[in-house]
Amino acid sequence: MLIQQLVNGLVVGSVYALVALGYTMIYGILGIINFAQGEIYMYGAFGAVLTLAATGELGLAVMAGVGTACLVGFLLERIAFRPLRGMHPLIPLISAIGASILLSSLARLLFGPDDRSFPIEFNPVSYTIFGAAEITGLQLIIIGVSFGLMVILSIFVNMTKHGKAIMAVAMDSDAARLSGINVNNAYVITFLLGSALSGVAGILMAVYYNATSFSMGLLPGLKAFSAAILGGVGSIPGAIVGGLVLGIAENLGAAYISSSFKDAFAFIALVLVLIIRPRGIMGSRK
Amino acid sequence: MKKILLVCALCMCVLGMGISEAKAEDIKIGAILRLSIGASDGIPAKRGIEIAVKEINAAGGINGNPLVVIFEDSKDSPQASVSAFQKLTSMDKVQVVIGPMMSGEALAVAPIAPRDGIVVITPTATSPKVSGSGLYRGCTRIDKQAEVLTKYAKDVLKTTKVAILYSNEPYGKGCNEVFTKFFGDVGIPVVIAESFMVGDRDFSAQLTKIKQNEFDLIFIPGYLQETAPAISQARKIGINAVSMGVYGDMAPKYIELAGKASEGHVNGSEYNEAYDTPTNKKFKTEYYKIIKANPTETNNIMFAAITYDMTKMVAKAIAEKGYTPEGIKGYLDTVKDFDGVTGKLSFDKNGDVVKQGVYLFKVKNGKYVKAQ
Amino acid sequence: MSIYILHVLIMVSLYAILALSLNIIVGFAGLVSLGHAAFFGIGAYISGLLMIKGLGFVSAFFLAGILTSVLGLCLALPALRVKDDYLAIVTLGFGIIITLVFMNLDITGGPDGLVGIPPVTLWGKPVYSKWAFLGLTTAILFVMILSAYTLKQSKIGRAWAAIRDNDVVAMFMGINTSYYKVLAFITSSFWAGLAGSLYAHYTAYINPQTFGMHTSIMILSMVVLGGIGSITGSILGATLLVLLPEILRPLADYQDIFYGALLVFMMVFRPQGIMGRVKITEMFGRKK
Repeated sequence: MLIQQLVNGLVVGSVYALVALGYTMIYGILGIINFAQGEIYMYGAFGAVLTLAATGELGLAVMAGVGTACLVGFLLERIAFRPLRGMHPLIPLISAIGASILLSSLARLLFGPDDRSFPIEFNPVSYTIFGAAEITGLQLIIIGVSFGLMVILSIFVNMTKHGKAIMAVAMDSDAARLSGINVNNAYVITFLLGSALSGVAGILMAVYYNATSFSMGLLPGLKAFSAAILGGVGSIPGAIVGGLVLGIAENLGAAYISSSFKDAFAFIALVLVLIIRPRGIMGSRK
Repeated sequence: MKKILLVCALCMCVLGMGISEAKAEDIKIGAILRLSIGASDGIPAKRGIEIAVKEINAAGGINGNPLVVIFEDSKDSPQASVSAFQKLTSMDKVQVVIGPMMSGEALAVAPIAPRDGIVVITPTATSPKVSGSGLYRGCTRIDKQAEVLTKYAKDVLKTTKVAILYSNEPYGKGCNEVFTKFFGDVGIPVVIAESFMVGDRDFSAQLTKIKQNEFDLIFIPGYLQETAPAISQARKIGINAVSMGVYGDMAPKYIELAGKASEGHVNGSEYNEAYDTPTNKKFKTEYYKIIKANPTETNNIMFAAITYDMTKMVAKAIAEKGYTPEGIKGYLDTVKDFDGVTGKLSFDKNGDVVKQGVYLFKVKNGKYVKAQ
Repeated sequence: MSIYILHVLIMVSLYAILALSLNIIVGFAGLVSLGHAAFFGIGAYISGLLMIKGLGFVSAFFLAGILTSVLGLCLALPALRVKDDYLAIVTLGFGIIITLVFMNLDITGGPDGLVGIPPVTLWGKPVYSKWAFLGLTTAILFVMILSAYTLKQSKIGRAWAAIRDNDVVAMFMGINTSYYKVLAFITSSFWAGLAGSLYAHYTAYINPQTFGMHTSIMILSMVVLGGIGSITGSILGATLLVLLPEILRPLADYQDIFYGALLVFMMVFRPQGIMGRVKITEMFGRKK
């Protein structure tokens, strides 16, 4: 059973990692806890599901989903965060919480209170690992897509001009500005990237659980945030490690200790890690 | 100074709010339903009341006076339910309230209601703690449901061992406790019980653990938003045992979300569409007319049926015994074989509804059909 | 009509106590706490259970406060190790864990909660009258305002202000920051526990739903909207956020949208809150 639980944790963990990446980038560069990241994830899922239901084209649906997520992220940055730069961290936090409530209630009114199934059914093809656990094709796709995106993000951040500009702004926005970097653009690009990743995560989950609803972003958002901190906020590999650790801790805790406390394990793991290593597993500076 | 004045102005608004413009002859009753969060249950419940009101007023109202229902949102919060109750009773001066829908909310309103004498009928709270709390209950208590379902498991499904995956909130937890006892009473041991939270969509940890055991029935009590993905995931990892659920699953949405995994699912229900009475035929027609006109609305005729019956009983009570809490209670406590769409109704001494029993349904070829 | 108004006013006074207690952590000491409803809940359950077991109100009331502050101490210790923004998620996690504990223990009644909590008894007589109860809560609120004000002006308050502005500098100035931070948590949770006790005996029924994240966020919003650090502000914030759902009843479905929009709007256009001074937010801005 252990290996199966590890596999379960790995799948969920890679999705947490995708959302955690969004958090960590936004926090690392803007110093904001984006409480509404889960809502971006949710709108990404709806964008895809509604487009798919209307057109039947999967590729178009995915693009629509990512596009919706980016749009929401863009608006969020513009309206709820940009005016609040430089203030006591509680201010943008409350703003983000307000945005989160606003976005999910709006979704409830627009899309209705019911869960929606994913318009296409995927037939599970199962593979056996080490003769002890099973993993389906869909689960492999999820892990693969997540890791692929993480690699692309790392390349972008470390090797492209825009990516390096973002890192520069993260380190010292004033110095970056003085070196001619357009700081506002860097912020917007960061938000767009983070939103795109969360959007993909939302679409993956809409498929995997066959359930898209206005409230689907709340708990994954919180857990992904914990993952980002656990891994060391501001660190991209940290977000990945954090997401995986969280997903696995949750599943092992539910399996071996108590399923009634499953949601608590994410936070218990976080507290334990922070007590031992206050900067997170891979956290460095600051 | 300006700010303090602003807040005083707000207080004035609150004071002014209660002045509603309903006409003197209207008979006002209150309803506290899950209209925002949990609207999947609350909207059908609202529809049931609306259909009843339309029918009653089309027939001339209650002794000539139109029936008006004032709806309040319970916001899935016991606190908000209490505020809604206070507002309905002290501002709108209703003498009877249909709702709240959830056990936690009903239990929160319970201590206040008898103090003020208001009649409260919860259409859908299933917790045993509601019995004897002074409230009336419009649906079958969970232990009666358990009795019927476990007997079916023993006699028809020939179950020998059961696994339980329950929703960790009052409804699911209550079901787990009660059903475990009743399964035991018919000689079916519960080999494992795991739980999940409302809002969870990933049950792989619990299901993987459950799969380690041997059983021929899996019982998943909870709300369909969770129980549907749960059975779907169970089938995906190879759990083939027959599945059984409770009222929360009794809607077409369950089949839609669970897909093929719902096939063979056994469920109890308060309502049987095939119940052959003129009242039911009329009710069904009305309900489906509404669903057809609002295709995106949640389709859950069972909730509508329960609130429809409760509204009609209250209206009859007021018509016969007058619009006072004593009058209404007098009627409800003594009525026998009321012609409801959920069956022939009466209330027992605890305020729980009594009807022929729980209807059993099974999913066959993507639709719920009568079991047995 | 009056019972409803009384009920709303009682809720306002209870939440004013809660908001003010959170303001001690957030406004006076400058720490972030997203799990405050947990203390509210702990006080409610402890007081409720003690009175069900036969203890008198006054003892249950104070014991609730004291035991809650012990738990406040428990949260404060790990809280010391992490910095502000991490504190947000740690306190949030604390809140979620406590809610789960309420839901799973038999003694707290599990998800069904505690039924049949006895009402407040003063001098042996139960208090059923809402007017009397409102008087009680207002009196306690008044005591709290006085103590909050006194604290603010005292050496402790000044130490907190120093920590709020920059805790590293405060440490160098010789202030024992750990001691004062823990003190903030203990004081704050004590009052929250008292509020919980009052709530439990007023409503006669409590369950875990009331003490979750939604409530924690609402209390924090009250503090921030009212003005971080301002005593009057917390009371106004509590009044505003308790009255709003009542005033907005006709808007039923749109209430949450309004609430969310209000929060964003206030932060963008008046971050210092209703009573805050602009200076405060500038003083706090220390990042980027």
